[in-house]
Amino acid sequence: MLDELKTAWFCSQVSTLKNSMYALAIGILKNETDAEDAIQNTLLSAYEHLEDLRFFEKVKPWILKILTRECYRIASYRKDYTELDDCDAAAPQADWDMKMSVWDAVSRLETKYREIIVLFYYEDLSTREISRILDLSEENVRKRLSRARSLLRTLLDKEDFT
Amino acid sequence: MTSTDSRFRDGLKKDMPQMPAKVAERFEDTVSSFRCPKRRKSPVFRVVRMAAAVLVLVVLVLPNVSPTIAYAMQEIPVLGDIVRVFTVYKVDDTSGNHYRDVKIPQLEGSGTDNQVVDDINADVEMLTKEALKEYEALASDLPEAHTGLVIDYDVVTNTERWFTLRLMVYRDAGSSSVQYYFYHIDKNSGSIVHLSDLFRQDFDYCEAISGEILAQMALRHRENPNMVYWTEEESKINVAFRQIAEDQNFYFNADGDLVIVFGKYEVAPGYMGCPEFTIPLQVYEEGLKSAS
Repeated sequence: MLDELKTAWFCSQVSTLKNSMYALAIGILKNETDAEDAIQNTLLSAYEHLEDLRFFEKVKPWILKILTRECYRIASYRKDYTELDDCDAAAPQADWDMKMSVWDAVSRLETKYREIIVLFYYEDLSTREISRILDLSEENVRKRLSRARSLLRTLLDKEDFT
Repeated sequence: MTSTDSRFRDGLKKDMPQMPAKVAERFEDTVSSFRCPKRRKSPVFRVVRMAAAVLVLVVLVLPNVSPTIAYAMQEIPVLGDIVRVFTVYKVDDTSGNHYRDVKIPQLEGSGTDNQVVDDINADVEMLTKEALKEYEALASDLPEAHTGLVIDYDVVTNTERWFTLRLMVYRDAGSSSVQYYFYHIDKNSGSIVHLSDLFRQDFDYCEAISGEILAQMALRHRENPNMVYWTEEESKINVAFRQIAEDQNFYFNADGDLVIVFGKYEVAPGYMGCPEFTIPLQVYEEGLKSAS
């Protein structure tokens, strides 16, 4: 049974992380309903394991790590597991007049590149923090980031006809 | 960084999908339900709470914490030749109005001459006993008030050369404060090290390091106006930060970089927490005492 003090502190911290959590969940799952479920499960799981979080520890990396786990769990329940990596082959090449947005390009990449891009470029986390959240070595994080960067650049440059 | 990186960064910040309103609402509802769990008010519960408080007081009264009573060994991390750290005393009372979560570390040296380890242990014991006494007094004077005391520690550095123990004391009696205490052992010389010990007399390390910190403060504020530090421009009532203290809190991180640590309210408003600044080697390299 948790005391009000730590709970209140945790609640105020987590409220500020709403958009970060949504961005990562969408980044991995690409689906609003699934993202919502992943986030709900994460909140409950975090609350249950509050003792694991030390008072001076940053809440963001801790909760994003839980969220990543929950996202992959939900993904595994999906009937078609390959949906995650599906490069949206069905997505129409929209108006040639409209430039593809960065997010459009990102959503065409594989999951492992999407999540790293969201954490590095949208969340501005360091490679060390990312390695902890995704449970990878820093070396791997850097390699994936580098690969993601070049894939993204290729996708976006293809669109620049002028 | 590179222009590619800025392009990605700016592009994502612009078109990343935001949390839809109804999802946000459900989010906040869930979080609110955490804040107000149903309270149990059975008399049995109250009796148990009292017993816990009494237990804490009894242990405190003992002049020296006896090893047989106090050892709460969880893990004993083996840190290398010189030092091991373990929790010698643990108070855990998260029921009721007075939140206590206290873990007190003790160092154990492997050599025969352990003056350094004894000194650190003595200091840690003094600091933590004072905090505990202060909060026991608060709890008994004001049983209806909400107070909190959290003491925890971690080993922030343990390389071939350095060992750094960080003690954190979090106090809450109305408003909250966090204080960090750092203890550094230079394994080469086997001695405790303060910031001033690192530099030669003829080098003004306070000035060099402070200059770097001021530049980083300005940069952080430019990139994110929510990050506020009490620099000359920002401070109104409060005294502006000009220089670090002679023995400012510091540690060497795992990359071997010098990190300067400020206490809460020391150089910034409370919501900024305890700011840290990593100082590049070139800022102070010329002033370092040669490695012994």
